[in-house]
Amino acid sequence: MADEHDELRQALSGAIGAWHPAHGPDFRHLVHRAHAPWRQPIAKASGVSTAILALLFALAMLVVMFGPAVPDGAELRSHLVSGL
Amino acid sequence: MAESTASPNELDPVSQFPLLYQREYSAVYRTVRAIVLDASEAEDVTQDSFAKAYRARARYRPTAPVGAWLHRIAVNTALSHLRRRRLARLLPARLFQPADDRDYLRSEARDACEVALAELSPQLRAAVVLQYFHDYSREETARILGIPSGTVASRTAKAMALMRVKMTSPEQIPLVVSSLSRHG
Repeated sequence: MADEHDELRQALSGAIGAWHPAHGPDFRHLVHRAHAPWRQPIAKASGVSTAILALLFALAMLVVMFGPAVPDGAELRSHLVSGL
Repeated sequence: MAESTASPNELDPVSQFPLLYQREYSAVYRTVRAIVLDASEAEDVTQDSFAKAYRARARYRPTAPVGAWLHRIAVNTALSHLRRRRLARLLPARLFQPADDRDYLRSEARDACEVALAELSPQLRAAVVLQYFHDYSREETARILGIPSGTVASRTAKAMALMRVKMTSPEQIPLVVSSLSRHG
């Protein structure tokens, strides 16, 4: 069992050790990529839109759950439920 | 859990990042490739991991070896990449793309080990490559993966059992023979 384990480990090391990247490390490209100026506004916009969608979803869930308790809630609830 | 600390000979990510990048590039690439199972995607994810490490270099604390810190970033980046890839395949415009890793197996004759690795989940592949290729201890592997060391033990045992079954299955024998002759 231990021999089998060692053989497997050896084969694994041989296979992974034979992998080499086609391109070497490029530090200039790395720095450019790390400082990508478009990254921050896009991440911010993505975060804001995700938060808005989550809020809308939570509001819709509240209306579905407590529909009859709010004015015109029953109508809104049936509209939301039919859309699911 | 034993506390491993950075040795005094280690490179400092703040002042010596270019050297660190040169030295660790291949090691990180191999870890990433074992997780994503695609050579060109692995290069992109490796570069992305180093870009993240470069942005975070001032936050590095020498409580762990710098290589383990880099591997932690690389494993997380590779796993996020696979999650994004899975989500992208759910989009209708991308339905023409391969559905999962099985295409990897069909694409060309792979090394027996690579085929066996493809049978494992990305989390199992990460545990295997860190412990059995990079020789990280169970505790170091646990710290890199952010899981208890008992979970590392069960993951690696499960992975090795699955790989052993795969590599001894009749259809794998020609691949095993070619793999052994190639790697000695």
